Amino acid sequence: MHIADGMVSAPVCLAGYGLTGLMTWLSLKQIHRTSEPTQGVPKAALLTSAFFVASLIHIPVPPASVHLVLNGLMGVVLGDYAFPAVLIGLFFQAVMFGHGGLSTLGINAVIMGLPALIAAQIFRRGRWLLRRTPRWGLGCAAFGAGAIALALSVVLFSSIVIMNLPANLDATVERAAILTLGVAHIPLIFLEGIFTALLALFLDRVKPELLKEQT
Amino acid sequence: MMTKMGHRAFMQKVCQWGNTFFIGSIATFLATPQPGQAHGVVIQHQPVAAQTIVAQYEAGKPMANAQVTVYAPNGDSPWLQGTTDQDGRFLFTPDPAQPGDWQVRVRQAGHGGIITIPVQAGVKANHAIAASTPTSEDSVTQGPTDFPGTGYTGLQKGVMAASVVWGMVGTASFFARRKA
Repeated sequence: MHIADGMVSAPVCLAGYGLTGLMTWLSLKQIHRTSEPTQGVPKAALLTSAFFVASLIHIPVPPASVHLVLNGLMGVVLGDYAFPAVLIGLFFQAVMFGHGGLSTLGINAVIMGLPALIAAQIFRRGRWLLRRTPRWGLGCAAFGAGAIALALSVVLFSSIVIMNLPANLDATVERAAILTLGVAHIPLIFLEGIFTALLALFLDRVKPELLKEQT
Repeated sequence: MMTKMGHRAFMQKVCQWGNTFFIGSIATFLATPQPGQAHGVVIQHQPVAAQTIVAQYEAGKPMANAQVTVYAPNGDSPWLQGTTDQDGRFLFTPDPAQPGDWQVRVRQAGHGGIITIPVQAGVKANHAIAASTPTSEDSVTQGPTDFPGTGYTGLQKGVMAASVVWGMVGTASFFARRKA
């Protein structure tokens, strides 16, 4: 799911950094508007560590091997903190494990961070729409947020890679390989949706204030 | 009687011509190199500085049928293109007349990496890849490590991950402390 150094052209890397800078600024602006901006930092730090470690957990889905992303969970629990948290997690993944790269940090942050922010909105609106059945509504909204976030990341990753295929590459073979990888992520999409729903239901029972939107 | 003798002589001549043609055909067949037969084969050997690339995903799964592009030093266009085998291996022989850093890019489904292979002028024997620059979770390497992408063992990776997690837990604890 991470785009490595040298896989996309320099203009795409720069565009990724530009978009990441803009989204980080918008997120920090939203966080700064809250009454206590540092209040969400502890849960953001803990979720960042979970996101950081998740990429090491590989799940064999023949013929490929996929790893957890958990960007939907980040959006559900962190809200506006999700994008900076994803960015920091990706930085450590690139530096420590070589997942992705520093030149593609921006584009990878867009691929995983933008769906995290969308997941936050899906969770918030879904929960409000299904407020008549709070537990079911919470579970369904969290499932939708977790699953849609990963699906969006797969679509973004595939689109960016396909639109930036080098001229000397066999495009047909590469497209087929990308399609295979995308299909291999379908079980993971459901798995992350279920995991996000279970965690949201658990947090709602033991510490419901963690799922509340910070004002 | 004359007619009978003439016929016999004619038949003898025909047989002689037939034998000559048959023997000539055999000789021509044997003298001509035939593909796939072990006659008249010359086998030679010549030492070359071949390089084997092994491409694996981080989990250890080989990058089978991944696309490989080889760039010669100071060359923008591909010098060689091919695909890895089922074990993720790719063998090629750099041109010794072009010493310098050869770059090999392995790519499959948007994942892959680039490795740099230094080739010295006039080196005829095989040599190991001295300096590799793996850049991806799914990378090319030559070493039997647990995590081929970066060359770290599982224990080293675990310690690194634990260090980062510990730092993040510390950050969380710092911001979660009660204000006096």
